[in-house]
Amino acid sequence: MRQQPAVSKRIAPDFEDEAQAIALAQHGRADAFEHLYQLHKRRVYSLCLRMTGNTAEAEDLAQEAFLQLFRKIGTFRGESAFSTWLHRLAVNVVLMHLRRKGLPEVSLEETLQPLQEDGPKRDIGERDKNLVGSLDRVNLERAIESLPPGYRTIFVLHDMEGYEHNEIAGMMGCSIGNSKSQLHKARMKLRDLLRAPHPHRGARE
Amino acid sequence: MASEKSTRMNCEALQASLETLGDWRWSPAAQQHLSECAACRILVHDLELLAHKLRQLNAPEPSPALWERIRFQLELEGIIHPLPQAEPVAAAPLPAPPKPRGNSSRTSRSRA
Repeated sequence: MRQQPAVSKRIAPDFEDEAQAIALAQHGRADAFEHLYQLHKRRVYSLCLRMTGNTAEAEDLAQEAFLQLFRKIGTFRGESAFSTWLHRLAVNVVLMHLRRKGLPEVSLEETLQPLQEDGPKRDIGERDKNLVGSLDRVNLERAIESLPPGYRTIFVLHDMEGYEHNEIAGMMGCSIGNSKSQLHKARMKLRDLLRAPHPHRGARE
Repeated sequence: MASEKSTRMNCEALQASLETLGDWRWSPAAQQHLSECAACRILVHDLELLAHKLRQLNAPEPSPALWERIRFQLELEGIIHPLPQAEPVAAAPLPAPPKPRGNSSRTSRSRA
């Protein structure tokens, strides 16, 4: 288990705005870096966590994203939003990680087949009270984690991070149609996961 | 039979249009289909519910150790320079312990 260093007791001073913190960070001010980290840590970490489904990996990737950003902060000229830059960088870090691991970022057609074979075919709109009943935060987080990596990546990028299909297609090197198709399948899979009985649920709780 | 086939085709067409969840602009034909097809109505309801719940999910917090790791690496690479005033004041040297008086003399006497 990773040993946790002592938590800093220093209190970051207030900055007028993000632009001021960026300007001071460009001069190496430690408190400005910490301020920028505090502003964006949740979103970067949650992106990493939801795309990997693993807390240790997510922290490593968030660390890498922030380090890459802070190393290049001197080049930031403010043409685009700082947050856009950071989140795009974090997405790239995670995608590179998934590539190195050999996980499919976009499911190939063969990997889509299990969607049809996961269980008895249901009517697409079959009334099932389980969906409403299982839609609490914990079950939803679990269901997202359970999505196959290929589905999860596009689902997180589009439905959770707000990227458009053309942006996702550019980042992942797939067609816009493929991105749309994957997203739809991911949503249907998620719906199935939430409606299906969870025999493991009791064991994990 | 013909109407069944037509409904099935409409279900497929409606599913295809779900790819832009959150920005649905139902065509009159889709609206007509939704008014007639309970299965698609439930599907749409489920997906809207999912989208709504997703928006309510809080972003999780990383462990406090994460910033310490990042800061350590930035300091190691010379990218950040901690502010002198931001650092806690260096602890003043501890005063010398008081010289033993009565006790020690008693001790020494007792030893003697």
